Amino acid sequence: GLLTMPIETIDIIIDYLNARDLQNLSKSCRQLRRAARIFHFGVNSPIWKDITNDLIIAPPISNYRDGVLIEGKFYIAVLTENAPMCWILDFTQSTVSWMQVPILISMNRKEYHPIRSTAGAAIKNEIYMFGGESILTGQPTNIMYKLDIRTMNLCKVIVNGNYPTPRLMHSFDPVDSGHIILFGGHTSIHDDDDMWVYDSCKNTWRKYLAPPSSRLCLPKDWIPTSGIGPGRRCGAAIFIMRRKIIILGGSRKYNDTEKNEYMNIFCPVKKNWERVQID
Amino acid sequence: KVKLTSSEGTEFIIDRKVAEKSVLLKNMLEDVGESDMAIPLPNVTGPILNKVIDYCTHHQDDPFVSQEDDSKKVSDDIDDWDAEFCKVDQGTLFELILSANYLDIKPLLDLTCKTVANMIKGKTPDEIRKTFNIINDFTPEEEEHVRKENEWCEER
Repeated sequence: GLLTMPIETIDIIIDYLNARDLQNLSKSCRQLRRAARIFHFGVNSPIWKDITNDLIIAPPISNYRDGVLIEGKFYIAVLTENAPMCWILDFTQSTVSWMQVPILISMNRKEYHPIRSTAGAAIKNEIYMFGGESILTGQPTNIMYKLDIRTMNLCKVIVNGNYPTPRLMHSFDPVDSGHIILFGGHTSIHDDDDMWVYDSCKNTWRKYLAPPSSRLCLPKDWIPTSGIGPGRRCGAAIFIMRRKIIILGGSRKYNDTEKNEYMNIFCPVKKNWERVQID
Repeated sequence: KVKLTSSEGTEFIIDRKVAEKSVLLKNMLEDVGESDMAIPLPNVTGPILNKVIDYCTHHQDDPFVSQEDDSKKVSDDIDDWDAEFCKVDQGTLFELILSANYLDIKPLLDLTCKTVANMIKGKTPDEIRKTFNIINDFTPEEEEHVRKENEWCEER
């Protein structure tokens, strides 16, 4: 019968089932449950391990947007005034604990500006960090740093052309192998609801103006958009799905009169915003 | 011509081209060269070997597909001859899977596995148990846990 078949043939049978049929198969008996779960999830039942004790010494940070994951290692650059440090968690090791590696400042020491609550995004082996609060002045900044994780060299990124305004609590997320999307956050003067895209190859920013925006009298790297935009907000999640940019969640301004929650979808080809109400 | 003997010792004489649908036999024949010696197949019974030879004879001119592609597997592309070929009792169907696996005949293995998958599709866990004569060996606690489990997502 089916249960006496070699596992490789059961795998071939399972390969022709959709998730629903596979789940029903997994509910029939223990052996098929095991086969179905290993096929679908890669594991039969995950084993959770308490690593609290391994993580007693934690980095002095308060903003979860600082950290980035690169090939199984989690990096947080803590840009203090005197001894900037990169904190690393290596998830590829059986024992996970914080490692500290000093950051080397490869710029004139006077140009280095210590920052807290920046936001990081990884492109290959480099962590880009934009904005945050200046430790010296307490004001939002629009400095962009780049940390090479192979050498731990930190440098300032001097961008050609237009540049986003100073901000903190913004979203800053890599979207493919070379671009980073910047959206929202608190700015010192007025919050803007424009979306910025950084191209790491060209070292330029492009600004997607919040809708409704017209083509008239715009600098060439400012792009008008149509539809209903995401509005002003902080700490939203950004991700790409089916070639569209999705902005979800975060916190909105107090004076916002909109009662419903929406997922905002931007189509980079049509340059228009759509939204889907979330129940 | 190639001589094969089934587990009971029944002898089958087939064309080399037909035998070479089996990667196992193809490799054996390449190693041994021309020989009058019968190849013993102790894992395959006469009636099953007969079915396997039927399949290989019908499909002897099909192109050899070695590379597995990553596209989503579909099980509703079985042609009439193959569908008719698979209209056998469950015991025979599983014997065919085992033989196709042992003799390394990928298209036959795929066909028979697709047929089993089609027997699972759209059925409730209880109907699956009835179809394959499986005993529910979950403890009441496990049963409860399994019942409450969230829907598994459809992979993209």
